[in-house]
Amino acid sequence: MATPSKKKTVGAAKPDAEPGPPVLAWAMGGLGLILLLTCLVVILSQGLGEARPPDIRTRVVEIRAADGQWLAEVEVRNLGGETGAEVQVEGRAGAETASATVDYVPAGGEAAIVLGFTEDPRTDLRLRVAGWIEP
Amino acid sequence: MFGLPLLMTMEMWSYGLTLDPVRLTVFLLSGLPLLLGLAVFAGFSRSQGIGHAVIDVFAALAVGFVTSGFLLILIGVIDGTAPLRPAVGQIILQAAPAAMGALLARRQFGADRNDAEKAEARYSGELFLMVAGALFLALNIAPTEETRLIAYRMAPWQAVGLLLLSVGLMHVIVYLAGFAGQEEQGHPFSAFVHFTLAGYGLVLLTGVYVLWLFGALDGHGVLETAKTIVVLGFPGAIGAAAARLLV
Repeated sequence: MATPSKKKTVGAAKPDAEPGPPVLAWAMGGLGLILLLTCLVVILSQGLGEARPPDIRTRVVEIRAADGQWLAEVEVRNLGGETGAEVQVEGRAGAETASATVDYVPAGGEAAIVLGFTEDPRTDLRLRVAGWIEP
Repeated sequence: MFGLPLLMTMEMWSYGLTLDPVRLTVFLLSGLPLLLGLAVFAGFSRSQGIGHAVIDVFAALAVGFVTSGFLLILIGVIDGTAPLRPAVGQIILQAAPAAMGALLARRQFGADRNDAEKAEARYSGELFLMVAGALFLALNIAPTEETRLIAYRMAPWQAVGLLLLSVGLMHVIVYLAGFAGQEEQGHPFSAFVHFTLAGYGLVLLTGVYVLWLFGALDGHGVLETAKTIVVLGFPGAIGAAAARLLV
């Protein structure tokens, strides 16, 4: 509703100025403001408050036989408020131990790893997070 | 010249190997209108028409593909032992930015650089140039691990500070660069909304696109996603604001 008057003042001030599309300009400005505020709100609403260290959980997604060995697909989730780097996940089945390291498990995010075993680990696979470093 | 930083970045080689074919195709196809826009808005002369621009785009792409392919072979990234598909991925990733550089370089070093023509650029043209500038810097920085590492290390207040700094710097550069049409806006507030805010919005969107392309947002929570976008938005904002100076 303010647009027509805007056009008028621009035209009056500089008659030979190229009339830009003010509607588009205000719309794009509004879009930018919305995106900027969205980022701010997300960061402030999620990030403020007390610091929550990484809280890393593991879950077996699937165990399958492949090429003479058993592969266990494991989902690694971080329920904490900070990111864990070089997260080492260890799986034990019987006498066997297999491990894999994830570069980063972002706060509130997830990653997937695969552990290999020679014996069927379906009955007694135990997972543990051996450690991580703060990025 | 514009392609070199990417060419010598290790992550770009491995993304060529691991990138999902769908994202690679989107990257190549979305590059075409961008290059066309660059050729039209920033190319030699708009009087030559769209046909010339299309020819320019494909010439630039050809330059991009040939130089990237040649250099990747020369520095030993692509050798005869690797299968064809990853090598093609690696070349595509390098060729589009190189083509962008080729178009810009022609503009930069071209003889008939016409300031009157430059002043003609319309508002949509200005926005387009900002996207191109943001995309160029974002493409150079997003593939590196540092982007996400910085985001992970930042506390929320630091992310907010970086966001405000990005917008502030962008506004200052926009003024210094003297965007066409800025004077006619007159009021500083409308200039801020029309160029800085609008531009920063586009910078954020460009960042999302580039981060998605490289899978840098996969498996991220909402907070880390926002922080990573803001981190990439910093060079993006500088690139967007400075694009007017460069072209």
